[in-house]
Amino acid sequence: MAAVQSAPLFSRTQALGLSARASEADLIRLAQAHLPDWQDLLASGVWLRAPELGLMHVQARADGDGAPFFFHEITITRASLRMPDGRTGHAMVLGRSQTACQIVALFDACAKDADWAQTHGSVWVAELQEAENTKRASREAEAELSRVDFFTLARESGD
Amino acid sequence: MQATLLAGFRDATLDSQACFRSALQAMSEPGLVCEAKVPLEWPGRCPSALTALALTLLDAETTFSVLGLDDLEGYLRFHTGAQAAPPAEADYVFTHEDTINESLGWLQTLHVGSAEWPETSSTLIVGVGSLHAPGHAKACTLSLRGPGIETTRMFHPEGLPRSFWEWRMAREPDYPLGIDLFLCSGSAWAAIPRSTYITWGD
Repeated sequence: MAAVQSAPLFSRTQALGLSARASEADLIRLAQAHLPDWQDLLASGVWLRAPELGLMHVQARADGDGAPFFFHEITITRASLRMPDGRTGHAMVLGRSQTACQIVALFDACAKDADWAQTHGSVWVAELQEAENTKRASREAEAELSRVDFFTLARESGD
Repeated sequence: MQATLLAGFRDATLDSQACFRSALQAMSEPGLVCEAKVPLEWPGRCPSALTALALTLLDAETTFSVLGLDDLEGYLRFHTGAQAAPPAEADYVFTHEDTINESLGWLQTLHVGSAEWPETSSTLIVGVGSLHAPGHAKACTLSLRGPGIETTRMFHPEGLPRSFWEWRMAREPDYPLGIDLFLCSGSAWAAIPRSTYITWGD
């Protein structure tokens, strides 16, 4: 049956990007809310690639048109899961939490079911987006406190 | 329809180390049948040992070629990150006895290394019916001698034609250039490195 495909509420890139940066506590809370039996679901799947730790090179640019340089390394965890119905989920998350990685792989597999993505996935992504916005805002506020204004200095030297 | 992805080793580190040890044992004692630690799942036509050997030997810096084992290429790209290449350029060539029975011509194109870098040659890994089938109609009786064998060792692999072994024997004068060979059947393998001399045992 060819159902009319409604426009996705979130892109996979967006969902997996947010999930990769999310905290383990947030992911566990979301999994309990939207996939109450997530531990059983994980147990029923096959790990194509069991959660594994690794280092990844990060490149950066000093400016928009700066030359790329090697910035540092980050710790990542990745995993791939195949559910009994054949759907696969892939995850790569920041940090060393295997639980977070497993939940993201499960999310990726579940989000391939359009109904689940519509009812639960969109809420999942929205909550992660909100958590990230809050975190970013608080960091920016913190950075704002240490701003040094050279206004006074400039005025005195201008006299 | 995308083929279903299959799982690799249960523990990628420990299982591939166990396989590497077993492969080393097999290479050190040519013709000795050694057991592999097999992965959780493997593509249908491949012997599980062949899949285990591929998972053990390949990484992102190696190239491989698959002939006549359709599902293996995607499986290896996913699990090892290795690049597929034409047989003449690949570090590891995985194939099946049926492919060799059909044609031998491509074996001539395999890379045998150069005088300066003999170790850059290809390693040929073949799935066969059996590693020890003395007296079987399709089995060849081979007498092996060379490093790792005190006198001679009899080897009875089943499935490869006599013309294949004649091709292998014809490589011997080129040593240290040549092709290292693994034969895999079920969950076991045996190796015949380029340093081994083969004569007909029957």
